[in-house]
Amino acid sequence: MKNSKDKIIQGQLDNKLKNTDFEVEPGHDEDEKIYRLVYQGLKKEPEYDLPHDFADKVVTKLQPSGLARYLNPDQGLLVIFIPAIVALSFGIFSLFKSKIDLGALSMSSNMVITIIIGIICLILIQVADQKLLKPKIFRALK
Amino acid sequence: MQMTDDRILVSRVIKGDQHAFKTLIKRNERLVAHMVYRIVDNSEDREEICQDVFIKIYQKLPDFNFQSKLSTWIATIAYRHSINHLKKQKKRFTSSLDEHLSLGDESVLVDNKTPELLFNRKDTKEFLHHLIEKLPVQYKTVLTLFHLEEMSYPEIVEITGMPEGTVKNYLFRARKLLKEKLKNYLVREESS
Repeated sequence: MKNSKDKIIQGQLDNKLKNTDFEVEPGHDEDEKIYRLVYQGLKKEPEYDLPHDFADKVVTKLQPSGLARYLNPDQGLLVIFIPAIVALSFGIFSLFKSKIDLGALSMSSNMVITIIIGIICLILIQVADQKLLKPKIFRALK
Repeated sequence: MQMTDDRILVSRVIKGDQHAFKTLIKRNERLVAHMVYRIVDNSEDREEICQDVFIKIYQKLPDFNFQSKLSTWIATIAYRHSINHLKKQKKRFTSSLDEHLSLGDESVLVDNKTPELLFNRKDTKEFLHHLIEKLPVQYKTVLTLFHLEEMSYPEIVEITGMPEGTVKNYLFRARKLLKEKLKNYLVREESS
């Protein structure tokens, strides 16, 4: 019984919500008067103290630092992989250098290694050019 | 109109337009702050949580497909992020209100030690605000979304993940509780 009265009052106030300023008017039912106060209070904005430069702070927080600022995650991986592959190549060749019998070519084995590493480096530079530099140039020209 | 405007804004943000993202933040910081400030008690954490909410929005924006309003989607992220923060803090959060709370057990819902005498009649609104702050999280959330943000039941359902019946029930119970507390307070004020 008590709940149904509350439901009726709340339902009426919900229906009027957008059109009524909930001024407390004399002569109304006591519960309805108090409900009007409650509805008024619920429309009151809670205090919040976000600084005026809040948006700037968020954008700053989004900026990655250092090299990562200029690279997307794929490009970042590439930057790590290029030196890693070069280092690995050096490692492998220096490991096998002593074991490979190049016979007549043994005199120039150092040169062969240098040439192979040079080719690998050229390929990696081409890949880096395609992945890193050209997109940046195109973006700058837009 | 707003929807079209939002679409343009979102596409600019996705293309990396920082100014557009700042506009998006300024348009929605009030909504996010309302959600976060009503759910999270610790004032030191609130601003940082608001920042994290917008960072999450930025990261997830390419996945947003406008099946709902942008503001509803943003409120959903703010709500979930705040609730997750509460869960981490393990503070004043109960997964099932019904297990622990009922309207008959007001002492659990609202601190009976409320210094009501500190408020005089002129401060009715302040007292009410104090009562709202003391409500359980789910009550405060539905009240904020319905009364302050003027959201519809389907929107509140989408944001909170609660069934519509539960949303309506929480709204009813929260408002009834506030009415009864305020009534007691006003009667005491009249007689003193």
